[in-house]
Amino acid sequence: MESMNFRNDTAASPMSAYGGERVMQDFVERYYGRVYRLCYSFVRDRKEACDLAQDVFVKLLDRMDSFRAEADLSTWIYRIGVNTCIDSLRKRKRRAAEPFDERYHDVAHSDDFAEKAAVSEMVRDALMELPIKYRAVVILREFEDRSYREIAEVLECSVGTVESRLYRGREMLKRILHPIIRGEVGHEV
Amino acid sequence: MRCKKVNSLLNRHADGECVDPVEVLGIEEHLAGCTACRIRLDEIRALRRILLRAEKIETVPVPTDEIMRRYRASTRPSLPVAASRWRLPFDPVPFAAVAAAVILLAGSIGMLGGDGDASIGQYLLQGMSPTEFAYLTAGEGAYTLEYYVK
Repeated sequence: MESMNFRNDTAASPMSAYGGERVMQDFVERYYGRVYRLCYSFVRDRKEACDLAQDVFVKLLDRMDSFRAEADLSTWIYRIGVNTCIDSLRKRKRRAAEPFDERYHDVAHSDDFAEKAAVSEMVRDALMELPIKYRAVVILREFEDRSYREIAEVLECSVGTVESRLYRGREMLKRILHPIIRGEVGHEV
Repeated sequence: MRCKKVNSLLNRHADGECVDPVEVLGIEEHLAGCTACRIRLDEIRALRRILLRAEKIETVPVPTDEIMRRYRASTRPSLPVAASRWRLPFDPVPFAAVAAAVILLAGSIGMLGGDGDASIGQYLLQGMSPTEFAYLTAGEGAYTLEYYVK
């Protein structure tokens, strides 16, 4: 899985943006896909993810002066990206959806359901059911492959808080996705 | 280790975040003899696999031009409306109003004046509007302030 592993990536350092707009454009082109993916993980909507990714880059370019060379580039990008997504989600009205169990009752109880594309949608929607603070930790851990320490730096909290939120987030997901998980565990036995 | 303790460490164990070898050994020993905790660990691992499988995100074109346009727009300083008005060469009225006020002030404190008969401030108060004053003092061949007063 590709993630934002650009520690020691001096060529990509925002500091080099002092070289001019061409370097800024390179920076955007280099990291847009990853920032877009992060945004998509949060909002699960292509257009909204595009808008959010653009917002993130405008902030990144605007705040290059405040980036410290000794800081970790990925942490800096993740922090602005995650905060932008969280702000957006908090502003968004909570959608009135039917209960999760009713929405996916047929999918979870059909034969061979693990093979169906609907399972992917079910999993993505399950993630959207999580409170934002749990979702942020789960996304950074599962999709961005960040360590507990790195997640703590991005979210500016303690490692213990990360661990606690991850535990609660996974417990909620396990409850929501119980039929799929049971099938998955059964397959490997 | 007891189930409660192991359960609190299972996520860290599944994520490879347990760095203490004694802790790892304690968990492994417990798991070897506890089916319930083993199932819990399997469920965590299964959940991680399911999440990763569902996370298929298509690539999208990079809107570099749009981002740069928005960035430039966000950093461009905008002129205040009042300041930009002063740059219009064909609207002398606001200029005249300020100029008249300055002249009034200067005249009232005696910085300007003719032969001592009357200050320019007093003269303006006797009937000349700011527009008239602007007309007289603007453009080629205009009267100088001193000439007009005399």
